[in-house]
Amino acid sequence: MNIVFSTAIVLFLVMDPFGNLPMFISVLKNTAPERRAFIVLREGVIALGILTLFLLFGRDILRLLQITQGSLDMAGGIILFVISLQMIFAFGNGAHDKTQGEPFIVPLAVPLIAGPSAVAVVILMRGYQSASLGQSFIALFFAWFVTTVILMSSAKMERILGPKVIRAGESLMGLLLTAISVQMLVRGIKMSFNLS
Amino acid sequence: MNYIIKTAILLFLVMGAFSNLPIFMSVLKDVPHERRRFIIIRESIVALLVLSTFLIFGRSILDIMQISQSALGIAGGIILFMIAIKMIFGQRNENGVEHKGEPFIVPLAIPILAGPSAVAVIILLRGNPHLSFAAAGSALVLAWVGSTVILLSSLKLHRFLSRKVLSAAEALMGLILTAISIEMLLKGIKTALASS
Repeated sequence: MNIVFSTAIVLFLVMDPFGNLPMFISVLKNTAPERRAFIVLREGVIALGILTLFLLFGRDILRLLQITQGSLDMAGGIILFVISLQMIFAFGNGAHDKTQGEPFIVPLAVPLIAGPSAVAVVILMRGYQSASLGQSFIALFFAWFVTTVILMSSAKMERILGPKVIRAGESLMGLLLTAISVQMLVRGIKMSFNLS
Repeated sequence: MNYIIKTAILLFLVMGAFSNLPIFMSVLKDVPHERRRFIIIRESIVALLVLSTFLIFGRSILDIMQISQSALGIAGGIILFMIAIKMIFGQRNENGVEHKGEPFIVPLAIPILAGPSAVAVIILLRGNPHLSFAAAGSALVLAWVGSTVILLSSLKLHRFLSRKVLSAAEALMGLILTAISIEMLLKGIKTALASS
């Protein structure tokens, strides 16, 4: 149970719904309001499908490419760390996509919800925490569900909380994420050099 | 006793009373003079409550997410270092300065007083075996009283404290903070590599 819970929290932080709120709002600005909830749900389901694929076949992919757990841990840790620094200091990712019309898969499902860090975490959680496939999937589903609910109510959230509270929430989540990413990095280094 | 003072100084530096003075001034510019004192006290109390929450629940948060002390130390050290660099070279982010009307919680209490770095330091404190809960609490209160007094006195002293004096004080505090952050980083790396 504990494993499910902690993995779900990490995944939730990595999906970063609060950080993605402004992006979602700006991308969906040009679509009809009554279609927005549907689009967010569709993109969410696509992201869940992609992450589930990596959950199922992540290990085989790693084996095929001869990537060790240790190096994936290190790479994932570095990516997560950079992302979390962006969340804290708000370097302003200028990736404001000027998509015309209705967004499909890119940029909402991939890479905003199912980005590189989420994929790395999904692959890794099968390995180190000895979580079973069922447990991992439950954790993934939990994190995904909360993220999607937050994103579906994006317009309402922004009206109630205001951009500043959302910003503060994002930087607090970034703070936890830095610690998680360093943890991954240290674990990867230890594993690769047999330090433990 | 020694630890309490040391911790209180660190927390005081992290709360950045001097660096926050100009921001407080500009946010409170439109507020009538007699209400400023009240607002500063209210925001400070909110910040204290937020920090106390992390003091109480910090360890369980870390346990749930399976973050080790050393990882948090490394991450906190890096974040503190970046904040200190910002303080020294004076890239003040003018985030949230264009606030209309009376400020409430955001941006004064969070994230200026209880920002990511203060939260990181608070969570780290709970991991220090030399520091009991009561000691950490009193250090927090000491640091909080110090920065609140400075903020309150700024209402009177602002005429004498020119911008230049303030930025000099800020740069000096930043300098001390870089050393403290490197200390945190080194300790984190050492324990991460030593403990197995």
